[in-house]
Amino acid sequence: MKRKNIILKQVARYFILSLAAFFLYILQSTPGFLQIFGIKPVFLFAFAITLSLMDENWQTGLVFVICGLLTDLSAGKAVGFYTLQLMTACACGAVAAKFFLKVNKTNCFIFSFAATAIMLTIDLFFSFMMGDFTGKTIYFLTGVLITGAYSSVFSIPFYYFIDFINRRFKRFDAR
Amino acid sequence: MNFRSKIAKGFRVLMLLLVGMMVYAASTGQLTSLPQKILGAAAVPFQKLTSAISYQIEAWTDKTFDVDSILRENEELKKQLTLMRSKQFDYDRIAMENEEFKKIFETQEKRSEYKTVGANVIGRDGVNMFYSFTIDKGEGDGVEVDDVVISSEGLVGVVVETGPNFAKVSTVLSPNVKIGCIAGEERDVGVVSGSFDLAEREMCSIDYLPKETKLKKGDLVGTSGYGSIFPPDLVIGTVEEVVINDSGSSAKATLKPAADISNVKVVLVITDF
Repeated sequence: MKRKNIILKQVARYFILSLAAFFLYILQSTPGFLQIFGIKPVFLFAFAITLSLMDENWQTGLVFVICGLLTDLSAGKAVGFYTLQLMTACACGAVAAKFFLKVNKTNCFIFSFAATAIMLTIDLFFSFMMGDFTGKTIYFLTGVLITGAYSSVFSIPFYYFIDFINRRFKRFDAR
Repeated sequence: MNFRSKIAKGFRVLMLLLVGMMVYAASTGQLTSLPQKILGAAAVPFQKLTSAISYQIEAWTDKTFDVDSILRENEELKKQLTLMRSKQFDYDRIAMENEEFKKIFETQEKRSEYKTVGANVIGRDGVNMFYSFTIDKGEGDGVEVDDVVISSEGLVGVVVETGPNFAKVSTVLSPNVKIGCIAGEERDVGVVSGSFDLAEREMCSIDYLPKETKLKKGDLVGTSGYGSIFPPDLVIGTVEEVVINDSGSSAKATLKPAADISNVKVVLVITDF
């Protein structure tokens, strides 16, 4: 009975996190929402990266897959393009958090910024770098880096949210 | 980290599965998988709600904080109306002469009857850099990949992916969208496509124009109808600037789209022409 309760709590926990990812996808794609000078935040990246730093359970990988699939859908990319990158970034985040990174808001922000910028750069490279298009460098500086920084700002409220979920389900392990 | 553990093996299997899905998607020409289509279809009602709220807030802020620009626009429109009225007499005369010439030369007028579906813009993502968007109509409404999307002002883009009740549209600002066009009074033939630096200013370029082109700022550009995707005579935009290429063999121009690409809210999808 006790084991059944634990399993139910686990299922409820990851269902809530998946629902949060779905909700963030809706907000991320809402026209004009938190848009500043044409730049919109990518909530799903910041959420997935922050979650990877704060949760070392393998079940969280399913939430990363949902975040990646939703981002692929939202961006109009082939299935798996952002999913693979996001899973790799989250795996690196989990390893970093386990062995040498202290999990706090600052590190969540920095790691989220680095991962988002790298993923957007890979998209820029495969989509347009290899073609003869003008303005790529300026776009990298103003588009990729600024979008990465703006998106990573939201890793801080996500940090509090995930901490609340962890404490609520009593699975938070201080590192 | 133990790379031989069950978790690591499961992780590798999942990655291989995703790579397999990507290869399958690339070979079939489909971007989205079944799980994505299900998630996308489930998200559409929520996206409609949030986009409606967002548009209401935007309209309220425009009304409250943007009164000066609205008044200026009103004055500008009044001047244009006065100019249009003065040209009305010339237009009536030319239209009458045209009818007479048609009768003389027995010209048969070709009329295009387009089948269209109205749609609302329900999603725009920060990852995409060319203002691509999602609409609330899909395969169930007759929308297919490569269907052309227009607004009341002009051409907006083309459908690149469909779901049961949604579709993704790539705009004319994207370098991946190429449109055969007819430009100016001389009807010069060119190709409209996007680029990074122009997309930031919400403009695109017209390439492969003849070097002796007489195009000038303000000239109208429309679709040529060559190829099977874009119907003819759709307004794309107006010319901003014309330059001769370094090689001197052709010219290119900057085009300002007639449609408000970044703010369009309601569109028409041409499902048959």
